[in-house]
Amino acid sequence: MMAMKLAYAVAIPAVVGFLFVTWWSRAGKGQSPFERLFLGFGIGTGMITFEMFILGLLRVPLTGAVVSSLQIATIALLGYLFYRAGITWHDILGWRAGRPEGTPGKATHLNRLVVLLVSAWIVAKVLFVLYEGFFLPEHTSDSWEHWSLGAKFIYYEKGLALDPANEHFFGTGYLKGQRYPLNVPLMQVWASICLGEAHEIYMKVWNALLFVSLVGLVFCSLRRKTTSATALLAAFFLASVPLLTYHALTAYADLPLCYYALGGLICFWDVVDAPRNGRAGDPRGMLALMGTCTALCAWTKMEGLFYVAAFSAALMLYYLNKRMPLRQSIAYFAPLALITAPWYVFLLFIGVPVSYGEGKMLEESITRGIHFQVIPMIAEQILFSANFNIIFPAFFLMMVLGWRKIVASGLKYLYAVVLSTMAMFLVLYLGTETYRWVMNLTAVNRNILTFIPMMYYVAALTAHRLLEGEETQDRWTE
Amino acid sequence: MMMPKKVLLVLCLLGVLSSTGAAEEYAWRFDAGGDTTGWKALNASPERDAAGFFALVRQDDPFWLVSPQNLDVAAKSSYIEFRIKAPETYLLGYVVVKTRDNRSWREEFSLGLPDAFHVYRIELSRGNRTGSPIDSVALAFGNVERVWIDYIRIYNPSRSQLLRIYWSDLWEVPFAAATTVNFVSTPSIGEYSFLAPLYGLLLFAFCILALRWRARTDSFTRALIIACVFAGTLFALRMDYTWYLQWRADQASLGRRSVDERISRVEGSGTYDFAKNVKQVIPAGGTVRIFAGILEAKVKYYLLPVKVSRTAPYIAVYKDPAISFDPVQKELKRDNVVVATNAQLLMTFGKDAFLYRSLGGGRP
Repeated sequence: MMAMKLAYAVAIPAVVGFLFVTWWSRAGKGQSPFERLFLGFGIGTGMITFEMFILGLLRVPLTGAVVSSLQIATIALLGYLFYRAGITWHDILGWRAGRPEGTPGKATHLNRLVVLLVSAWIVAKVLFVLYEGFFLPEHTSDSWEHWSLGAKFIYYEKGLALDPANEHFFGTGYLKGQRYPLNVPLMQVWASICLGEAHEIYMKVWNALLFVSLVGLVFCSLRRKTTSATALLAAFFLASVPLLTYHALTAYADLPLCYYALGGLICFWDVVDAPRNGRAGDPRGMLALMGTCTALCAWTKMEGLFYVAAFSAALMLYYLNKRMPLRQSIAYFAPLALITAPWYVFLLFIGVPVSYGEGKMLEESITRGIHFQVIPMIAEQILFSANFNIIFPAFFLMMVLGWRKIVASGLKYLYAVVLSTMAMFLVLYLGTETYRWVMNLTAVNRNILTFIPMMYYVAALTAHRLLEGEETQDRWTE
Repeated sequence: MMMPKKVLLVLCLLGVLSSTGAAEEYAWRFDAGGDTTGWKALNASPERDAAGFFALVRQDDPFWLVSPQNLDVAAKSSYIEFRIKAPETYLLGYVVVKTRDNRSWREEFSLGLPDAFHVYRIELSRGNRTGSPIDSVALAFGNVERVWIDYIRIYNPSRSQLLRIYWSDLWEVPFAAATTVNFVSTPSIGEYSFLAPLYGLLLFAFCILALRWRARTDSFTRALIIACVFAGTLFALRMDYTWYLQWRADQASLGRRSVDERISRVEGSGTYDFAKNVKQVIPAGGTVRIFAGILEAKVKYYLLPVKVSRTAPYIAVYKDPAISFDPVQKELKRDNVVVATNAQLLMTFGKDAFLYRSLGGGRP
């Protein structure tokens, strides 16, 4: 019975998200159903939690019947839209992925063996994560203190406790940081609602499932853009990132954040890359998905605002460079505003400060001095710790070797997102008291983790372009 | 006569590996025929099992096995190596070292997979700041019923032994039930991260490939990417070995256990069991005040749906030495300040966990 309830908790966001992604990506003909499912699962989860937040604001009790009926209504609405647009089941579930864009290599016996080995390795890793994710209880104090304590409180309270007379108004004493967005706690609340209890193991399975989606999303999206071998290797190396694997077994919010950031980047690449593929039609669908993913970054962690800034700036840069009408970007900004604004307006309304004075600290750093001591510490972590595999040297060496091709192609916009995010974190560490979190290693690796999947994705695209050789160079340039 | 380069290389390697370091300095076998004169067990009783293995059986925590005094171990690059077995993992053990100039320090090690002998090695010179010879050592354990010991030796390793030590360092996996989300443990070789030699390999692979493909215009790029794939795969191999062992450790410690038992073992501090008992006493909708020192947030977490309230009649006290109860005055005090009057003890769980009920209201 517990398995059925858990399956329901997972299936509902997967179905809602899958249909949502299918609807908005209907103009493109590239995404396989698996890619739409992997992207849709995270988006669907974020949609449910956001709806729960709105229900909480409206003082509607968070019960299974209420939240489920909203999801069923969403499914019905999307079904109606498909019907109106003449989109059939075959279109929705069909394999609309074309051949990979890269030139297929010779399939020698050795190649096949390598592909088999790497595939088996990925499958073993995914099974490990799923097994441990569904087996281990909440086991890190960081997880339960920051996210699950608040989740349990909301679940038992059946709402956000917004009665001013309540001693625990909006989770006072239970929500560790009241300014922290509620996506992760509400994911756990949704699971608890479906299960009928705040189950110490099953309420936190989201990270394991998002890990699988992350790896699957990297493979499917890269297979569409490069070769199967490149996609397989990128998925393999992403799955090998030890800190990511560890986070998949916990309930911390950095893995969901890096999932949404990667989703945003993939959608952005679809927007940028569409003209090259002869699909320069209406990019609004992918922009809407990009805006949704970016908004869900901000709905997951405060650091998500960095991604909002990075994606928005890169998109503006793209539009200005291409001299395209800026009004198209409304499709990106509408979901961003729709999801982000209510949360911050709410915080303002109840008097919870969004910032702990980081802006003022940045100003003070001019007089107090910059914390340069973080640089060797960060360098040591990214180069000599076992947290991320060797993506940093690989990423930057490839960037240096391929900079001409990168600048000449749309890849520069993806680099703009990744590098500006890195720069924002670095400025924060150099200029504010948060440098302590670098020196005592309490945040730096987790913060870096949030853009690691983007680095693997961009590195794989770059490697593919560099390996394609001179003969195809013209194809890649803008 | 000219010797081929490969033969010369092999001869040099053999020369390095066969050269001996200092002779073994101390070795004690704890099997049936071994001589363990001078070793003392503290807070534990020494026993021999049916197979003749020596075991330390816990009487209290922590329990110790202390070496004879007046050892004379050279301060420079000496190692202690011991082979032990324990029925638990996720726990730390300690080697405590004392020098001739009466300095002492401790080095920790995490217990390996349960119910199998494992060899542990710790460099003794690492914490020896004064360079004084080592006088005695001790092994310390806690939260485990018994520990079997096969042998203990202290020695200056030869070069070949040192290579073996580095190799085993590389594959060492520390197990811990509750770890931080901030980083994972990095395997090391001696004092260096294992990524340092990995970068060396990356560079080597890059040079070989770049030289081989020097006729091609894009050879550098191609060589770099393939070298990165090669080094990244070696990294994945090593780190996924950690996950494999973690899975085995989880299976050994948590497999075939109920959800409650798993939570209790993984949580490790007894808080979950305490909260479970408290929830059986406090009626539905009841509230509680908590005094639990650094474990307060954890008690609060596991006590839900019983919520915390400043005016709650129930008071849960868990591992908080600042709390005292005066049964005559019926007062509960924290650092000699009364926090509840007309209080009565409802339940006791172990030696440092209590549930009270105050009829006189709270004084937060």
